[in-house]
Amino acid sequence: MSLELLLQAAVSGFLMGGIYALIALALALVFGVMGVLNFAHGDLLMIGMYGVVLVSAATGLSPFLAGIVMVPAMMAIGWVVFVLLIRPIVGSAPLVQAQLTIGLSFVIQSAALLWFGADLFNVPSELAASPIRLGAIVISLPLLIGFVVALVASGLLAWFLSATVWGYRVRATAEDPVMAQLCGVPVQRVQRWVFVCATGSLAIAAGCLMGFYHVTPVVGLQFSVLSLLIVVLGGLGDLRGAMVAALVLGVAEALTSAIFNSASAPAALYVLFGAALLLKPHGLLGRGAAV
Amino acid sequence: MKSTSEIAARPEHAPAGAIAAVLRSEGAVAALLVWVVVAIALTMLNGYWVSVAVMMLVWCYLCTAWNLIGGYVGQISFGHGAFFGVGAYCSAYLSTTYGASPWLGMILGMGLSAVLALAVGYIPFRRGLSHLVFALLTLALAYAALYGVSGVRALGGTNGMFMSLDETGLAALRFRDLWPYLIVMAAFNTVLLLVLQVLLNSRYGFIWRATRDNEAAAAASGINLFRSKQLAFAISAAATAVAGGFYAQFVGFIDPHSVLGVHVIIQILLFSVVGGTGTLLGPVVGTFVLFPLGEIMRVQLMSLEAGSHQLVYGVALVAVILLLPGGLIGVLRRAMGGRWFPAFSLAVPHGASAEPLPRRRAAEVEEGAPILIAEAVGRDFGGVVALRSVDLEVRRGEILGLIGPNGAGKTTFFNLLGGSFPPSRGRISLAGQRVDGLAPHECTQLGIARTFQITQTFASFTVAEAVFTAALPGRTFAEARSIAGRVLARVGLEARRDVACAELTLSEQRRLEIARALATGPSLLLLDEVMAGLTPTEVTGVIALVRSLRAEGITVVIIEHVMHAVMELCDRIVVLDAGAVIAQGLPHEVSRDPRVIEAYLGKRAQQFAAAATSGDADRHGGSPNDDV
Amino acid sequence: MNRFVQAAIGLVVAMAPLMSSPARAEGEEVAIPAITAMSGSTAVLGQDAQKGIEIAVEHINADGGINGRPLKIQVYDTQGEPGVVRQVMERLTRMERAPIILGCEVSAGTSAAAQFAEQAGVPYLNSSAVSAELLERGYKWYFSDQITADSEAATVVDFVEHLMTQGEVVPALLYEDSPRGAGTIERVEALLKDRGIEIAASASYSRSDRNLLPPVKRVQTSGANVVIWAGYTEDVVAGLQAMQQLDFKPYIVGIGGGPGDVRIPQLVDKGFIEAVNLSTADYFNPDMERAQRFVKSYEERHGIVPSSYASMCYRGAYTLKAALEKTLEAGKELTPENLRGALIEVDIPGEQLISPFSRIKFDEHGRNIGAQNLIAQWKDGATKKVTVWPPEVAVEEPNPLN
Repeated sequence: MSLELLLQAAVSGFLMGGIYALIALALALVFGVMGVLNFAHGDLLMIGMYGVVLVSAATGLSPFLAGIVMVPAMMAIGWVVFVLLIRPIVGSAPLVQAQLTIGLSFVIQSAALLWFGADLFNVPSELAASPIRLGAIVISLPLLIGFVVALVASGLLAWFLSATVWGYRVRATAEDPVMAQLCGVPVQRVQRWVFVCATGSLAIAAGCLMGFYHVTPVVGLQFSVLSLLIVVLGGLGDLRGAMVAALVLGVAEALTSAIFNSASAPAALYVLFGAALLLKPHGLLGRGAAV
Repeated sequence: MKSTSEIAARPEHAPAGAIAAVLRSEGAVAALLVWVVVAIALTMLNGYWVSVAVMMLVWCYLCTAWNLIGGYVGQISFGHGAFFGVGAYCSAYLSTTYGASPWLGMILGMGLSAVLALAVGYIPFRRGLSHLVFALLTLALAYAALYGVSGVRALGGTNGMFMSLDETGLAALRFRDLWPYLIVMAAFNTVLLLVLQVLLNSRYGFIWRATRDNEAAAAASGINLFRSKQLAFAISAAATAVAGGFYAQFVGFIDPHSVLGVHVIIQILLFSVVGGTGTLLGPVVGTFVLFPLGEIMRVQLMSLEAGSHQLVYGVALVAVILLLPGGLIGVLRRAMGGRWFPAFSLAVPHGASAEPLPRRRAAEVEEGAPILIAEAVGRDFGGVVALRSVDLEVRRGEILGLIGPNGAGKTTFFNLLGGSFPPSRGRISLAGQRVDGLAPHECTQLGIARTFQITQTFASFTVAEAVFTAALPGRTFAEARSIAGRVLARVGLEARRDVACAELTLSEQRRLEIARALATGPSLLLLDEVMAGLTPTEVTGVIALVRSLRAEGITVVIIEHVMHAVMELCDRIVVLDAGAVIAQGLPHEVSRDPRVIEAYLGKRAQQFAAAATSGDADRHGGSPNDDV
Repeated sequence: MNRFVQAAIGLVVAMAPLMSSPARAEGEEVAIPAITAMSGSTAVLGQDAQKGIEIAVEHINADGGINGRPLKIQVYDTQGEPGVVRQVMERLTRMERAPIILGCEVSAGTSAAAQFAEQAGVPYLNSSAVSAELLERGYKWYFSDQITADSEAATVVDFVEHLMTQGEVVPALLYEDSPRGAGTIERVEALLKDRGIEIAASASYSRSDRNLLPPVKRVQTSGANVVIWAGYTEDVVAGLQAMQQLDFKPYIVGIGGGPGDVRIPQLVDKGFIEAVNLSTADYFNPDMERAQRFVKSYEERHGIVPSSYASMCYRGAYTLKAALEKTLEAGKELTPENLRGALIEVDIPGEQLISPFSRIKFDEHGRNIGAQNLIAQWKDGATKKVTVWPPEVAVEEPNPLN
């Protein structure tokens, strides 16, 4: 195993981590504002990925643009999901929330299997053929674009939360919904819009992913688990922590796969996760909720 | 069913009674249900449905085992797939490699699973971390096991392991016919259900449910949360491994995905939640309804497009969770109303209030000498200084008032005394023994009991159960029952003993807080705003109660904003402001102290107050619930 | 309460037909069950398998069925889960009283099914799993007309040796670590060692890896110019993209469904596919002369050329047909015992098959001694996949080593 190999893994893992960050941010925001840990998060993302495939095939748009086109559609889906399923379980026992969202994941996964079959879909792109080379290190162009788009989207989110009235309302709701309600924040409306926008942002993440990745009916579960790990690793309710955790996880994932050349390699990632959580129970930045 | 109540209370000392209690309990009914299924399967159904019944009982068993930690202790474990797999792999490996009986592997698997559970639970439970941290750690365990085993050649790697088909018989756990599998699995279910029922009827039942309902209140009741959770998790994990060993022999082939995959835990959650967690019948009923239904749907909808049966299944699941909170058992329970298994009722002699209240430790200090000494105690939260430096003495037998404006650090100080968190600096000693840095239940066991400003109740307990549970740690059932009876009579909740805690009025909830604290047998009682929001009559009642407690030799520290009560009740008053003591002394001295008036009312009021008489001062701060 | 009673009644009503075994159809139809994973993570296999079976049944019935009786193959979904396989097998043997079961199941499912069949004493005809381990377990009731990891490895190594005649070959192994990939790669490794060929690198990855740059890079840095690669479609697509980014263009000899997937040119840059001489050891290729009838029907029905998965179950249906006919011709009942006897006697010549086999003939372990692989290579800008090896069935010459 050469240094070059490790460097390559670290770089591509880091870029991947940027896209994970966008996915995990949406989950962290939903959890922060309504206390619901959404196990169907990855499946909502998967809907976005299928959407991107369809839009790209129909219009010839690049997956990144197709992702942006998909935003309103995903917001509409978020709206429906929130009204039908999420709102009734805000404040319920965690077990009920977990089970309901797992049920939703079930439904989305089987619906995808029904409509799209088990075949995998991707968006073939010319970009993949012309990577950027830095010495021996190769940077995939779609991955880089995905990283940048995800970074911009995350930056917009940070700006929105810290500099707009609605951002204050969101943060107030996350801090203490009862107090926010008393201060005149329309908590229900904030929660609905946060869920709608978080789901919408998944369309952008889906576009980033489809630049180089593929979609099958089972990818949802993988991304759900991944984003859950990130949110907990970053510290519950800590958005900046989630960003850092996503990057760390992306790099760790690539490095473990590069270092351990075995079927057991992914186990190392989960052991690392466990160890990190034990050492930093309040998140990597130590600022997560103690719930 | 009705008479369960009296018997459930005394299983620890009367074996015959204990057996009777178990036989008439939910667990026994659940076990009976299992055997009804066995009888139906063996007499009326063909072989295929018998095999479905076997798998159904495997899932039923898994759900029941999971329910202990997930339902009764309220810690959601996603790691039970790992324990299932450990059982399967231990039994498969030992039997195929060394020819050992699968039973041996099963026992080893139980041990290994318990050890794994203790290791994974250690830090989150020791540090009292969030449910989610525990849930995700267990999920990580499941994935680590899945991928870990995939790379181990001796365990067949991703190829999996084949059981030997040569031997049959009970020792090999492999049979030519189907019915012995069904009987064995039904027996496993029965043993597990009855063992759990016995545990739930014992002190652990109360400890576990208290842990689930309210950790703060449970710890203040003297319950060691760490041990409570670890014990339940280890038992649950060990029990789960048994099903793994059985599954390996029944199917004859295991591979990482089939026994360690996420679908294991998803199924367990599904059946348990739909059935109703936290009851022994729930997971059993959930499995018995959903599993055959899933099988029928897979067969009936087979001709449709792939995925349709899962779609229908998923939609049905979501609908059940949204429309039937509490699961199927919740529906049944509501329908049956009072005829449901009553959980517990205290068989205490009424009118026993004349007996003295229990005391955890006869205070080793003389009357009037300091029982509690706080020296330069401070606490920071991140960069915020909540308590700067507090020096304080509580003398044995006094009622000490702790007052101060909001944010002065009063409750923080109580939290330090009660062990909710350790002080950042300084030392606290009780009767000469260091207590700072101890866990809440340790403080309680040393004789410090507290109430909470925001009342903390056990949602699933009746009043009697809550008080009984607080009296339980370190005592026998009989002692705890007697203490609970006396305490209930003392605080005037005797008539409400069988009411659910959640249904009490505010005043009753306050009394319950005091009762819970008293039941632990304190020598030092910390009361945090027990009068806030009460009517003047109710306040008078509390004052009388506190006085009578002091008369019995209990030292009381009271945080209160109801000023006239403080003035009337307290022997001495300590005033906190901005995290430090600004005044202390007799009530009338303190009430005239300019620093106190300034702290409460600001500078301008000071002149006004100076002109007033001492009697006026009482009334100034005197309106009830005046937070100033 | 009301709702509950209704639900309970509904359940009882739903269960009623399941209380007793339905009488077996006494009519002319010969009904045989097949198991496959039509949902779950390996559903792609099952869905193709079902399509293959449908067309086989149509062809068989169009040609007069089983001695004049129509054949019916009912496909049962197992989700590829051993536990479910156990249940379905139980259903088929005990409730449906199936005399034989056709298996188009994934490896894990096949293992569980074989274990069950052995105990139940019902022949299980495997058309899908290539596991050689199952054949070494000395089963009495397990038959596999499918190729094995051994024959696959042999074909691959023969092909590599052919490439060695054209220049220096530095081979490396790259594989997805499921039993399918790892099993064959293990045998390839052993064979290469036997023949004194040094392996430059061996890199495995998990199907769940989203990022294949590290393993591909590992292979690239080893200096390999021929990569023997076993994987599923998703990771082969990701791996090819990684190679493209790394500007790594080895001669790829693939194994299994992934590299052989007919949709690869839709998913990966066609020029690159040609640049790496993407070839696969497979048990089917649509350009084979003998497969044309099947391929045409399949294309008419589904609009694409059939995958290898579809072909294996088509072939399985014909093996089944041969056994059924042999039993009936001998004037015997269709019982498990008789069908097992018939399977042992089955001998189908290669020309009658859609697979590149020399024949279908089982040895005492249930192994098909006539099973052999072909190597197919993408040509003409990845517009067609051409059979290039072994020379007996080759349609064109393989591309030379670059």
